[in-house]
This record gives sequence, C-alpha cells and structure tokens, in this order.
Amino acid sequence: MTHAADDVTEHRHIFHVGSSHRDGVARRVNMKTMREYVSWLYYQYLLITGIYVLEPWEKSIFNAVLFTMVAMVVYTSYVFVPIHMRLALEFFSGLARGHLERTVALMS
Amino acid sequence: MTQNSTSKLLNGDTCHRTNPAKTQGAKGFVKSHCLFQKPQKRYRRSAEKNHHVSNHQVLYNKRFVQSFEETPLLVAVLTYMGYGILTIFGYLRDFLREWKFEKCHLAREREEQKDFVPLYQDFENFYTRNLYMRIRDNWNRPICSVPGAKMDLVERVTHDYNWTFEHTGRVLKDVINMGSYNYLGFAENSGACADAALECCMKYGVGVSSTRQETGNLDKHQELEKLVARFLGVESSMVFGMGFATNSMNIPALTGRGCLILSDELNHASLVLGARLSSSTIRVFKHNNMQSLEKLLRDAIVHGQPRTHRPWKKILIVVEGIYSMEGSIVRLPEVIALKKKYKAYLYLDEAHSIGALGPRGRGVVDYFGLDPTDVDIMMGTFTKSFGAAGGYIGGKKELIDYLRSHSHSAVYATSMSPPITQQIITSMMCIMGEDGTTLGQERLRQLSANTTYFRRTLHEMGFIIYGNKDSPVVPLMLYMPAKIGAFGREMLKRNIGTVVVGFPATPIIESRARFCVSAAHTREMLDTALNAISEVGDLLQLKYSRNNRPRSEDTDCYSYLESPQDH
Repeated sequence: MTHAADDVTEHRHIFHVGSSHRDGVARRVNMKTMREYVSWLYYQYLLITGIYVLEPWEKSIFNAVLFTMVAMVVYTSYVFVPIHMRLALEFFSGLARGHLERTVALMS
Repeated sequence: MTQNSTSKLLNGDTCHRTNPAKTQGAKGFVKSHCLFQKPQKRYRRSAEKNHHVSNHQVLYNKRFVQSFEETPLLVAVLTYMGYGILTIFGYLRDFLREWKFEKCHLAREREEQKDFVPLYQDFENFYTRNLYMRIRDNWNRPICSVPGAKMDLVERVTHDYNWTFEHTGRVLKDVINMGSYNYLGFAENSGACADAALECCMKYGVGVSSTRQETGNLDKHQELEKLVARFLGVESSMVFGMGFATNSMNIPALTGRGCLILSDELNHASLVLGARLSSSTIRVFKHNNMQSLEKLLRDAIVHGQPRTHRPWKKILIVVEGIYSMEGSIVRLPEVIALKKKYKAYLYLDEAHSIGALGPRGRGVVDYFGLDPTDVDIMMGTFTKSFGAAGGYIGGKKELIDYLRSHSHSAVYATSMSPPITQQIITSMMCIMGEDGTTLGQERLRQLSANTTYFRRTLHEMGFIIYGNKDSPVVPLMLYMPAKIGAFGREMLKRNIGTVVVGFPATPIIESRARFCVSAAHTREMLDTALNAISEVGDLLQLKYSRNNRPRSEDTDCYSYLESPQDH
C-alpha cells in the first residue's frame, strides 16, 4: 500500500545496512557479562525470526531444523570448497597453458 | 501559476486562463487548470519520503509538517520472513488440529457440513487463530478503575497459551495509561464534571427508554445541541447516542443512488460502512493527497455517472480531522479550496481532533484558522476529548432539521443518557472557559505542550514516528510480528499500558504501537513513560530511524547519501 503520498518524489533511497550502528546500540544496553550478551542475542534471534510467539515445542522444532541446515552448510563448505577451488584453478591454468602453446606453435 | 490561481480563488474571483499557450492542443485531461499540480521533480536523496512542507504557503498560516518515514528495506525483508515462518507453523498447527493430534479450541463445522464450502478458512481467520491468539494477552485487558492518566488493571494468567484466561485476584495498580483517548483529561471520577453528572443522574435517572423522535427528547438534549452549535460556530447541531452510529446512520440519509462519495483511503470503518449503506458510488483517493482528490473531482465532473454520463446529483468529500492510525492531520485548507472550486460538499469527521487541536480547542477548523461555515457537515464524537459517549453533527439549520426526521439514528436509536449529556455540557463549558475557571485553557495548553515534548523526544531517541507534529496520536512503528507481542508485554512489566496494533487494522508489515497523549499526564509521568519506551526500544532494537539521530561515534560510510531536510 502506498504511504501518505504527500510528496511525489520518485527517487527511491538506496538502503544501507547500518551494522555498525547496531553494535553501538548493543553497547548502550547495559551488558555485564558474556552470558547476558549471548542471551540477549538469542532474544533478538527469537524476535526477528518471529518464533518468540510460538510454544516451546515449536521453538525446539524450528531450532533443530535450522541448526541441522547450518551444520550441513558448514560441513559442505569445509570439506568440499577447497577441493573444488583447487580443481577449478587447475582447469583454468591448464586452459591458459594450452592456449599459450598453440600460439607459440603457430608463430614458429 | 498555481500561486496566482489559488490566491485569486481566495479572493473570490473567477479563475480565468492566464496561459493560452498551454491550453492549445491538450487532449483529454487538461492539466493547466489544476489547482494542485505535482511539484517539480527535485532530486531528493532523503530517506524520508514525505517530509513535505506545503507549496501553498498562502493557504496555511503555519508550517504543516507531517512525516511518514519509509520502511528500511532490511526491516521489511525480515518482517516478511517472520510472517512466512509463522505462516508455516500456522499450517502445521492447522494440520495437527485437522487430524486430531491436538485439541481444537475453535468453532468447527458440524460433521454433516464437512462437504460444503468451508466457513472458517479465510486468510483472516487463519491469521486470527494462528497469530493473533498467540499474543492475545495484549488486548481486551480488563480495567477496574477510571481510565484517567493512571489506571488499575486486573491481572490475568493463561495456562493454555491465551485460549483461556484466569484472574489471579490481584490488581496492577497505577499503570500509566498511554492508550485511552483521554486528550483533555476529562475521564475522571471527581471534579466539576463528575459532580454535575451525579446531580443530573439524581434528577433524570440513567436510562432514557425511548428514541429521540418519541419520548426520548429531553431538555438536556436541546441545551446540549445549542451549546455544541455555539462551540463549533455553526447554525445548529444534533446529538446522537453513539459515535459509530452517527456516521453509519447519517451518511445514508444524506446521499443516495446517483450521488458520488469521495472518501479518503484510510477512513474509519464507520464512514466506510455509512458510505456503503447509502448505495452511492464510492471512489477512494490516496491518503491526504490533494492531486489525487482533484483528479477524481475533475473526472467526476467531466464524465458524470458511469453509463449515462448524467451529472452527479451531489458529490460528497468525506475526510477525517485526525486519522487515528497514522496520526496525520487532513489538509483542510486545500480540501476547502477544491470543494469551492468544484462545488462539492464536505463531510468532516472530527472524532479525534475536536477538543484536541486548535488554540481554542475547536478542532481542526480552528487549528487552521478557517471559517466553520465552509465545512458543510461537521461531525464529531464526544468519546475522546469530552470523556463521555456519543456523537454530533453540526451544520446549517435546514440540514439539521432534515436529519432530525430522516436519520435512522434519530428515529430508531435510543437517545443519549442524561448523566452523559451533563458531562458533555460541563466539559464543553470548561473548554470554552464559561464555567468561570481557566481550567479549559490550561488543559489545552498542557495537551499541546505534552504532545510536542513527547513527539520530539521519541523522534530524538530514534524511533520511527508517523504523523503530524501537532497530533496527540503518536504511532510508533514496530514492523515485526514478534515485536508486537514483546512490546506490549515489556511495557506492562514496566507498569505502562499501551495499545499495539497489527494486521487487519494496519497494512501487514506496518504494525505499530499507538500512544495517545493526554493533558492529564504530568511531565514526570511522560518522563517515566519515555524512559521505559527507550529501554524497551533498546531491548527490542526498535530504533529504526535514519534521520535526525544525534551522530554517535559509529557513522557509517553511507552518511553522505542523507540530504538536508529542505531543498
């Protein structure tokens, strides 16, 4: 829905993520210990994903599913990404060397 | 050119063509005569879409500052994500309820009706049972004292996640009331108003036991009507027992088939209901947008009724003084200029603005310094600033005499109860200053000071606040669904009662908390409330605003994108 269209400027503002200002705010909230800070972060996670309103068993289901997915992503990236990077580098460098040799052969 | 035509209209001259070149060769919609053209496109890189100072300074005697800051993109994305997750869980719970894994607390269709078209499957019902029910403890809280600046709440607990509540027997005392429409503080159980109402109750009793047309017409009603007419500056007025019924029962008496109603996008349900009941054609213009209204008026006059192209019998523009969900004030000078130019009628619903705006408390007409006879039908309610109940309509004598016999509310509805009538009479005399004290003036001044202080402080703290800077209704944006419940509960923990609003009343991502500032709030109460709001805002990370924040040590690299306020 449109906001109050009092102004007809059509230039949309580019969004910017003020991550630095969010940490500043966290510092303003009086965090005494690491434990309190972690529990405040968990509270923010509950609020942002919306599971704050759910019953405890629903929260557990959601956390389990999310944790499983994150664990799978971490595992895949740790095990497979270096191998794929190495193979990709070899492929492209092999391609470049083959191109160079063909050019040299053509010249002589 | 628009300046010239506007000032000419105000002087009563006819608007004649000043620029012949533009009128040649223009087909269809001729823009050169428009009173309110779109302002020239300016390259404005501000985060606020609508920090707009009116171009037509000749119409306004003071700055009209209204802002509706745009939703930050990240917040919008996260809000949609939150609703998505809750929807998935909603489907899961519906599945469990359907297959009897879980007890169902709701209304269900009977076994025989299972194959029919379902009664309970709309998205709105889905929303009610799966989202609203989970945070239902923020609404319908029972109050057990007078809803003044402070009130007492009955404490309740729920053992089955808000499906049922139990009273513990304890009472939360002296909860600061930021939700009641108590703008001038007349909701009190002691003082001149209460004493006068008590005396009236002793004389007349409480019930009227009849409709206005039969034996329900008391001399108190006549006295009140004369007083209301004098208060508003109109010829005559009529009062009704219920504010909602005033709108929904009187608009059908005023317009009918063959008439056109131009109503604002965000009008109240009573106005929408009244317009629909009247079976007139309804066209909606964008909220407070004068270009949109002018375009609709011009189209209506040029093209007439839909198929026959006959002229409309009458055109009625329906607007509100203060819109309670946005906190915005209508652009009344421009609406009146348009109404005069295109010969339409104006229906102004001052439910929230009567008593709350203007140096003498006479509402939005007084706020802008306009003539009350320009508004054809002035409607308002006594619920908000007068501490009573009921509504009124004011206007010319012929109009009111017509309504006395043709309005459904006058013919069928019970008339106003006598103690309430007396409460309104006393409070209105107080506001007008005719009871011999300066209490009315003080309260008006206090309300205005409180509003300015509250809004300015919230804005400086970094919250996104909607609306006009003079409006006592302050919506504070929450956006995310979980924060609606969290905000209400955290504020109650700090002994402050607030009203939070979500989906059906607002667009789905724009949920908000709505504060109503009152003249009964002292500076200390407001400070307590503001500190609590700031604390909760930090706890819940609600300070989304990107403008006017005192720059802390963390300035991000995008600060050059923010432009100054006015070009």
